[in-house]
Amino acid sequence: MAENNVHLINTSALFTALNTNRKNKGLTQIDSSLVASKLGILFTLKNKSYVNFKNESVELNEYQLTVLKEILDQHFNVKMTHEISILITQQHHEKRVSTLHHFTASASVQSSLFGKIKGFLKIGRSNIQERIA
Amino acid sequence: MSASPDTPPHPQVTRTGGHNIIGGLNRIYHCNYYNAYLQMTVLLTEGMIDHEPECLLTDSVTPLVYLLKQRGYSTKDLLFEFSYCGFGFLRKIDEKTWETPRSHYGEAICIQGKPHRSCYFTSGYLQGILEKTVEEIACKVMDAPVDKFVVQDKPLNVENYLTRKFELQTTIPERFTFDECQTFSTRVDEEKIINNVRQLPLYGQCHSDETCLIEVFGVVLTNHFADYYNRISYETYFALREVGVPEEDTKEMFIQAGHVCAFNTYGGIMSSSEWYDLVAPMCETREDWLHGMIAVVNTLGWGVYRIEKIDVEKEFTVRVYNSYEGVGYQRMYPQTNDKNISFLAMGGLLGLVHLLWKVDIRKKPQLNEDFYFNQFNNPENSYSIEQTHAIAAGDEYDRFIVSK
Repeated sequence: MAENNVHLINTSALFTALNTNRKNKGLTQIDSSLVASKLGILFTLKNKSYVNFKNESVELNEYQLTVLKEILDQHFNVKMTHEISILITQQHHEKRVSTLHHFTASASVQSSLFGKIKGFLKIGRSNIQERIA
Repeated sequence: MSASPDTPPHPQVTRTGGHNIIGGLNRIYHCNYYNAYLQMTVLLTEGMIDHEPECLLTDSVTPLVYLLKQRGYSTKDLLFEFSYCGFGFLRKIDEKTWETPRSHYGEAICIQGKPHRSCYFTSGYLQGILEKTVEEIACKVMDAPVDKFVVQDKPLNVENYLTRKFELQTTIPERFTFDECQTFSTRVDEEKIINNVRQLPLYGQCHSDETCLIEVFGVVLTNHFADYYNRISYETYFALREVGVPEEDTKEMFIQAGHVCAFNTYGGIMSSSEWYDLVAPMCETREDWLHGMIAVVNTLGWGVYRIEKIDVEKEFTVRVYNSYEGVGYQRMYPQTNDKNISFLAMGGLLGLVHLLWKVDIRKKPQLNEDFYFNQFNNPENSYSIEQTHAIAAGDEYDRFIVSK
């Protein structure tokens, strides 16, 4: 069924398209880690499931694609219906429904411009923390 | 617009333990970039059940105004201080209408999403003055000529959230004098820097052609309420975690706010004529610039920052005694187990390192959007931040390590 179709989107290409749109509108560009964090948060709130936009790619079903377009319009001030259609590179049939799980990149993902987006926060006990404990 | 002929004198500032207290409340300087990012982060939670970010942004200042009134502030005092602290010029039009022809939140806030009314803080401040519900009906962000606020007859139900006692620490070690501190050799004179910065006119002025805004170092500052920032930050953080947003994503948003603040404010300060007149001549090495900027930070009301270690381009460790985030957290919530909880300090210190060890602010780059996007905030060559000690978790100080 159509709503079970899952579309693969390269996040690097998505962020580049987002910023190209913003630049064309005379708006400031937004760095990838901030876009990824915002999208992750907004997806959790609107879609009731977390999608990790810090990975090289994300898999979104039809409903999630609609949510993405709404988020881009409302929170990033860009309409990207056409661009998202172009960005969709693969379609899979969904095998299972997940909620509140991280998606990992599939082996067939084409490599992006950069690897997993790294945030600034070092979570968890590092060697330094263990030294001072 | 012009100021009243009998303008009140400047508010009295009590400086203690790294805090700047006016009217019994800690005030901290923050720029329009930080204010914008923070407000944007709070508004991400729109649509959540049992959490209303617009009310949070509005109502979090109302109890603080009540506290000022309890200390004897009149309406005139409150209006003067609104301008003095850089929020703009607030005036009454009639019994039901107020406006701000100049405002920080209406003019200086950068919006990422669709333009929307943005003067929540002003609405809440006015609620505190009038003790009635106030709603913004027009905003300069949406190209209105002035921000306009309507007073409603609805009763106001806002409670004081500063419900826990937590005293500031008074025994703070002098620079470089605590046991674990690395031995530093620097000519940077922190006391001289602090005394000079305190002479700068970092307040809003509303007479003649002045704007009532604090436009300095390429940013627009506010001398804001520490408790307001803490309230809107932590309430939003808890709400996001409660619905399942991962810890890293949630904290990243708040840390980014501090990071962009550092780029613009620290970067602006370190590019200014004031810096080159006073601080740069004291600096022999690139790392002296870290000492110099920390001295400036120690005037902002954020607490007392003490550099513990500099391992060039590898590690930068700083303690913050009486960090406004740690103290503020303890005054609102039970003690936490989470050490990575002082988000602004994390973003700010990370940004400071990036200004010197990732890019080089001494080369006087243009601090524009392209530079921020392509170089300063580029993931390549970025450092990471962790917080090892937290006042919010019962430690004596906050402590941060920036490292690769």
